[in-house]
Amino acid sequence: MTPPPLLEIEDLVVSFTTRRGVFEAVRGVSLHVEPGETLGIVGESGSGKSVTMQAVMGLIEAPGAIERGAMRWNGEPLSGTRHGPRAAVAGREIAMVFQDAMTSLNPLLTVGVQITEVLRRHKGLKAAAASARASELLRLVGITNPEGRLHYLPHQFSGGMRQRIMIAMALAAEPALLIADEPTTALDVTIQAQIVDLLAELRDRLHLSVVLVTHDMGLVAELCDRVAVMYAGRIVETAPVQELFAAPAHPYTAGLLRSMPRLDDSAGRLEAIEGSPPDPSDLPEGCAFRTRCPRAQEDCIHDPLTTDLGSGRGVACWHPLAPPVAHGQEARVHAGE
Amino acid sequence: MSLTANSPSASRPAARRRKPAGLLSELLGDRPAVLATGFLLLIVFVAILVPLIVPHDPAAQALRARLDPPAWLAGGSWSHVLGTDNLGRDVLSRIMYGARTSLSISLTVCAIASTFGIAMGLIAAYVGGRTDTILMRIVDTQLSFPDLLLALTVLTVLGSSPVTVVIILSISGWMVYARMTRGIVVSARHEGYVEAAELVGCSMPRIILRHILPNIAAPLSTLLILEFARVVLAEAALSFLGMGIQPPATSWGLDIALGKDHVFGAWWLVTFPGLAIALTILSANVLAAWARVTTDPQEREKRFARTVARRSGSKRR
Amino acid sequence: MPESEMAKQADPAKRLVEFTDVSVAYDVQRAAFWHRKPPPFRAIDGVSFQIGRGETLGVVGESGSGKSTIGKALLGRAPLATGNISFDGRDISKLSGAAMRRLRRHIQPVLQDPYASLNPRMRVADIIAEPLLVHGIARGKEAEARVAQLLNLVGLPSDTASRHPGSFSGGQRQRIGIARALAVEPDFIVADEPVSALDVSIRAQIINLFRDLQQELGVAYLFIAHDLAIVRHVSHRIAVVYAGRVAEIGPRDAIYGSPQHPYTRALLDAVPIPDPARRGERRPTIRGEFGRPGDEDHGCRFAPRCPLATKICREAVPPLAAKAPGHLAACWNS
Repeated sequence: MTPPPLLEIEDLVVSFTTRRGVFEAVRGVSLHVEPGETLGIVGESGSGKSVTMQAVMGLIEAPGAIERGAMRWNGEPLSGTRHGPRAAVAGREIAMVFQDAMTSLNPLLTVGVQITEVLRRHKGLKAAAASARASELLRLVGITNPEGRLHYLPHQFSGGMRQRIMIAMALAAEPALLIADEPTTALDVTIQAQIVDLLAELRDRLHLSVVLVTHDMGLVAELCDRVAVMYAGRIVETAPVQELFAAPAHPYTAGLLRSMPRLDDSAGRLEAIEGSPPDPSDLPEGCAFRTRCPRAQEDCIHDPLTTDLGSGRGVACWHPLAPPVAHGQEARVHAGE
Repeated sequence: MSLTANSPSASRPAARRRKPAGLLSELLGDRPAVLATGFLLLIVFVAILVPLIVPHDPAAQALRARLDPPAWLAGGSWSHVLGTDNLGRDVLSRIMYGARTSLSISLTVCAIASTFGIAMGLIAAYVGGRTDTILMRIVDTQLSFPDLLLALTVLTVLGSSPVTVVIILSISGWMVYARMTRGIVVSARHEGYVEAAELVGCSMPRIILRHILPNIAAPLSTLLILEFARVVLAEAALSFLGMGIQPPATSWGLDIALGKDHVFGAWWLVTFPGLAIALTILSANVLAAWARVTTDPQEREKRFARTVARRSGSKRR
Repeated sequence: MPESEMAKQADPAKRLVEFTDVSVAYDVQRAAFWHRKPPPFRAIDGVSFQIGRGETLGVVGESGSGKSTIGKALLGRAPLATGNISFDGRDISKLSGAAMRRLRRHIQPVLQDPYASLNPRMRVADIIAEPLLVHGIARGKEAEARVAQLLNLVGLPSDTASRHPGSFSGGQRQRIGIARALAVEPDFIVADEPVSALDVSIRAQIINLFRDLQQELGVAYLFIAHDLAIVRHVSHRIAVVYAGRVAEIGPRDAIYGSPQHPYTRALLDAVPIPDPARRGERRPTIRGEFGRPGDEDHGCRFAPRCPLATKICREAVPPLAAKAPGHLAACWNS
């Protein structure tokens, strides 16, 4: 018997009611996070990657609602309302870091007050112990002179520092799972690299499980063990990170990898995915990617089922790129194009 | 500019974006807003058609029918549905003419004050510098002065007439428009599309008219409705104090003033004009709240989601 | 400033834009009225470069580096403290409002945020036709025909014209913004982070569009970005700016192949390698974050973060000197 995964989501559906109609931002997502694992959730804006994680954290607010689906933490159901689980697990055992640290921190309270608040509520620490622990946390995320910095207000820190403080706050309750939603997107490149390195270091040191929500394949390559690629509210491909990059099975994944501007190929024309991401309230019938897909055929008008390709890989496509037997070869051809 | 024309203009930009849920059906889904709009429409209707539909001449005295109670009370008669006053004048007819007074004064004041205020706000925002500072100081100073007191003082000196009342209330009402306009223009100048228009080579007048002023429509509609209510109340107050509309003209405030001596014997003399004022102001506030949500895309979506949730909830049960 | 060497980069006959020792200074508000007025904040400080006709100069730097200010200066929206900017042989640094508006016929912008930069109340046709109208180039039927042509040029269907921007995705909106910029047939486009706000799968499309349009129309670009990977596919030459100064400028392949400035190297190292098999190969990047320009006026502004910094770096400002033909770097140690 294998132990249950740390976090398990099964057939999650999140809908939003707008005046233009009800649309599903997450359309039946199932995924799991194992202890100590880093899962990357990759997708564009509107793919449902952030909404999925907000559902886990119980952050879905009207006009959004969880229509269906089960979420389990260590095998126990995350019970809750239509808007997500109650704050028992989310917040203490699962913590989240957002893209924009400035809007997630209260601008009127010193960072010390904000971190100790978490410590008092979730760890029941008294004032002195809490502030000692708070400076320890700041030191952990690489902030020098943490005792002095506790008395600073958020705006007195630079963007990279604020993101470090957000991470320190997230770690305050000693969570088992850290959800990082585009943690580096708002930062400068050199600072991005620092935060990535910090996340990797903390994960290894504290044996954290991490869910990294991002649009950046480069970040996934650097940090993740396993990847779930989302498109239009569904997971279109899951794979261990090495295999995903070596031989993407879904045409969308392949397109994403090819269209990325990178430093190690020719500086010629980029290979772009044609078209635009579909409007979530007006999705194409069947496979949502089919209108942009170079491999689309007539049968793509039917909803693709997720095919198990073995070795932890799955793809929701009628015409995947890499046949399960000879994967690797076809992908090489693509990489060489 | 009439009140009914304000609310559709508020959401014109949204409506143009081809949203399927129409403004009217959205209004119909909101019961308080429907009632409020209905009442205001009734007042407008009465104010326009009053000479045709009024049951009695509001100034006609009937000494035999003095202080008749409303029709449904003992001693009342259906020829004077809401009763008569101490001179035997029909209360309903007076309220109907009072609606005409209130509405025409309030709408005129709103039109004058908003035009002047918007112009001042534009000048302050666009000329900037010292002009801006001076104009905004005037606004602050005037806002800090009790406007009813100012109105009373001026009316005492100049003597009262409907024209003076309009002028006084316009002078005391332009500042909010100026402040709102200035705020919107100053923040709109930082909008990407205004910056783009400047960089593309548009002239200043074109930027203001084409790109900045349309932003005012939504908040202006809400403000106009609220200001309308404020002016109705101010006019009633002035008339009540004897400094506004003078007999033989009628006004809700004046009616209350005339009825206050008989408040114990003939409660209907103050109650019905009072209700007219209260309901008008309540309706205007409800409608303003609705307009505020409707012109805020995010709030509008939330309200829509709530309505849907409520409807589906009640169906299930 | 070794101007003679800079001059080698672009043939004078083909030279379109020339920055000579340009500084932009903004007044700083005093903290309280009893404080002494702080010195003006120099967003860029002594920046010189040229751009030829039909050429793209990529400008890369972090937020606050002054990269956007360079674009603003060229668009006449930044107060110049020193130096001058010439466009097509004419000094444009002291133009009046009307003259500046006329110049906009030749220099057009593409802005970063495609959601904010299009007026939501206007039809796409009116947005694209606006420059034609305000510059008196075309109106009515003629403008309509031109709009149809432009939409086709940027790869949008013709029914786009009658719709409002609200119904388009970010990539489509950026195409509309590009069509607007191209309407007056400018010689030069200042593109300030035109793909930063776009989805990954769309960025490549827009970068390709910029390339194709340049080939077709011969328009020159100042292409501003915060990341070296993005500009690589559009630029002929690249300038790396740090704290308001040009740290390194040179032909694209030289910048990527043999970066001379440690900051350029740090930027290159900071780009994640999209290959999990090579995880951990990325060398450790520079530490710290950069202070505002003006904080330290002696020496190299990168020195506090620089792994190679020596004594001289903190004492004297390194000149922008040629390391190879057309490849200049401001570093004592390269």
